Amino acid sequence: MQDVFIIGIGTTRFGKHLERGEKNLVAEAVNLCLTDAGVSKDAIQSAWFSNSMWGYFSDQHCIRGQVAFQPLGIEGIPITNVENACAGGSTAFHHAWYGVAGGLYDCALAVGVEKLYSEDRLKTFRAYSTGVDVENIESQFAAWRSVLDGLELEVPEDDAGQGAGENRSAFMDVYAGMSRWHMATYGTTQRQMALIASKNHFHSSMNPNAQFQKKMGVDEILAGRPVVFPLTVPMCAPVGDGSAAAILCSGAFLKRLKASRPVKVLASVLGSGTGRHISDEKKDIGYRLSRQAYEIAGIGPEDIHLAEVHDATSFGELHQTEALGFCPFGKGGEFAESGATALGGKLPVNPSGGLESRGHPVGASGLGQLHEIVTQLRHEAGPRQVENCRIGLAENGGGNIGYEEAAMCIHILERV
Amino acid sequence: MRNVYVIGVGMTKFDRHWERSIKSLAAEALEKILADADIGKDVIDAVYFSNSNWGYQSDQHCIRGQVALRDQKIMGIPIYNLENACAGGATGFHCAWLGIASGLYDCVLALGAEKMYDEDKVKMFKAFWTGIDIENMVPHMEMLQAVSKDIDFEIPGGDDAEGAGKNRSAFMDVYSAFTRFHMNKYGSTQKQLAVIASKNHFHSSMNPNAQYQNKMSVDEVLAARSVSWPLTVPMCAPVGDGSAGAVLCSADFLKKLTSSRPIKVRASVLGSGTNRTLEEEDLDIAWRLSRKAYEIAGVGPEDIDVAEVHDATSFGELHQSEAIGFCPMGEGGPFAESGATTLGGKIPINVSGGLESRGHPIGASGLGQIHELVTQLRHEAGPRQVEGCKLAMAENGGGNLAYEEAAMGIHILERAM
Repeated sequence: MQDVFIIGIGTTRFGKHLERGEKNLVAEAVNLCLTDAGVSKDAIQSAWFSNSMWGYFSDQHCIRGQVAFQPLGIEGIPITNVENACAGGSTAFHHAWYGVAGGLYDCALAVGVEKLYSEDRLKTFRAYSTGVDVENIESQFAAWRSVLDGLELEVPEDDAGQGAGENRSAFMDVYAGMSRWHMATYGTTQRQMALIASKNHFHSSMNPNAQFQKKMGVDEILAGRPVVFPLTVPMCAPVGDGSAAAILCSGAFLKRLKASRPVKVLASVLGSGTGRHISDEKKDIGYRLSRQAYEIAGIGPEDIHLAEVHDATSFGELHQTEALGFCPFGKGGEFAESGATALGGKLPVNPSGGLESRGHPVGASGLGQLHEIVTQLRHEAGPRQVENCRIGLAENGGGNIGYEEAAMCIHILERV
Repeated sequence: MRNVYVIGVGMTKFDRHWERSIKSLAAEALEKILADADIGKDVIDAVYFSNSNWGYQSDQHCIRGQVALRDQKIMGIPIYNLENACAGGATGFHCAWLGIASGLYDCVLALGAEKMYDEDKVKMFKAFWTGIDIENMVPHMEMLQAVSKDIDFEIPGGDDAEGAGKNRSAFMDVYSAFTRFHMNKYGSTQKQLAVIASKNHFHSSMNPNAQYQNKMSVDEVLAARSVSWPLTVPMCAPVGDGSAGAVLCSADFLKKLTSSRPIKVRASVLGSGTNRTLEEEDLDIAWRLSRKAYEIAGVGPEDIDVAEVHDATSFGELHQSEAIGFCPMGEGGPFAESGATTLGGKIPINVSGGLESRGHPIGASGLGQIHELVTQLRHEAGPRQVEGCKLAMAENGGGNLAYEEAAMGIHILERAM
């Protein structure tokens, strides 16, 4: 397979865009992306479009990409609509990658868009429940509760308990369950999770595309409104709208461009979850797929200079730093406490602010991560620049089946 | 890019499967596909799953492939969820082809599953609306109705413009407007459409996987209830449920198999519609994409022995037989009347019965077409076998933007045994 390069990226600010439609958000991201790449839309030979909820909110169940691209005059070319819950954005990117890597296309576009804000908050929170096996939602949550019931862990009395999917995304209960299991097994603390959230809010205070751009102290995070113990509001990704895009090309196409700042794709890996038990950590999807990605790239976790990981909550980041091999299993809390994952540390994680603070418009989030990695590897990240970084990793997970993500993509990118 | 082979196909009967879930339909198709390919599921490197309406019907908006296949213990591997309205099946097959052709995978599964039938008829017909730009539905439908507005036809019983999307899929009004345009421009007749529908019902009387297996004469088709003139019920694809799929592999993988009946993919082309005007027939999506497919395969329309085309209505088949180049533009009606497209004719079309009579579970339909062509090219189609066929074409369109399909996949397959 041939080498693939990213030559353009674009993103809207992630946030509450109640007054804007999907088409409008896509137009902004795609136009920014074309400008950044210095190519016209006529150069795009194929497009992959990721979205999860346009059907749920506005009945656009079919041909979403075609509908979004038509006003931009992107038509006639192959347009493929893809979905993989919160991992949809990176799934679109992965498709575009092998479209080019395989030699079918010279230049391809990956776009993600999502609108999750609604005046009807119940409808918004229920949207997240569709990232599981909807028919068996009760039995899945029962399995989670049985894990939690067996834990020796002191849980505050004001624990929200009821309300999953009604006043919060049902996924928050899954994440809280994972957090508690980790706390009971390894002695991880709520404070360590607050530290991660505080670090991510600090990072996004320097990111003009972030949903939240204000710093938050560790104590402020701990004092935040409880969602489900041990998670407080600032430890959880907000509801958000937005679009992000990337243009990929072959080496031959790249040579024809006069001015470009290409970033090379070293590995693009997609996989799905298994029926592993929560304690089988070496079968964890993030562990499995990252080893595959490292092998393809011919490097190890010690070679990664920065990473964007799927922190739908602070615990997600803590867990992924372990699964991706940045630190041993059980040590994610201490690793964050050491400052290693903050800007200036050994391996800055989520310099964009992550899902927690940059924002998390489901089908666009994975492309938001790649936007950040490319910006960093080009050394164009301004005050949040990870100095001299050359290799970055993005991990994007989606949905939940059993005890892990239903889908995941891992990408390793290199400065050329 | 590498050569790609189809080594297994399988499908449920397309039908009203009111009591069965997507999971159950997908499981049946999967079992048949694996048995046909004579492989275990552990050799599958990746899955391409196509579906359009599971979210609409039952709130499964996300990770549909993972959910559908988990009970079958297909997990851990890459699972891709794809959507392209009625062309979802061909899109899944195309992406699966790319997965092998690119060198990323050696053996992959393309699987489509759809449930459309619903006791709530309004909900059921509204599902079809979502194949257009929902936000611009009203101006879009007005534009399409204008296609035949100024054409003076004597419509028996008058026009029923109010029923669109209520007692029929809104797409039927799109098709009838295009049909009227064609009738006016080229002199096509309602009877020619009935000939096509009758022929497809005859074909599927020999197909045990077909939703309808009863023959219907031309007169019976004409005498049936009108949907949107000139279309009558038997000229239109029924609402249906089902699952279909295929296993694709590389030449290296094929060599490892001891007994196989492989079919080679000679061309796999996907495209989207443009804003062409109604008159620009040589810019038609099927015209464009079929020429591309012929070029890739190094063949012409005259080399095709059997074809499955997207006959959501009889007019769809009439139009596609022109656009794909089986006959000149405007001559699709007489071409069908000549018997050329009937089993035993020059180029049999929709020998499965087509969408009209085999059935049309949206995200599975394109793979139902592949199922038929693989069966034909293997010479395993029994009484409906196209004798000595070697080269086949499938055309699968989906959704509607401006004056044409929003998405289309075209495949050329060749007997390789």
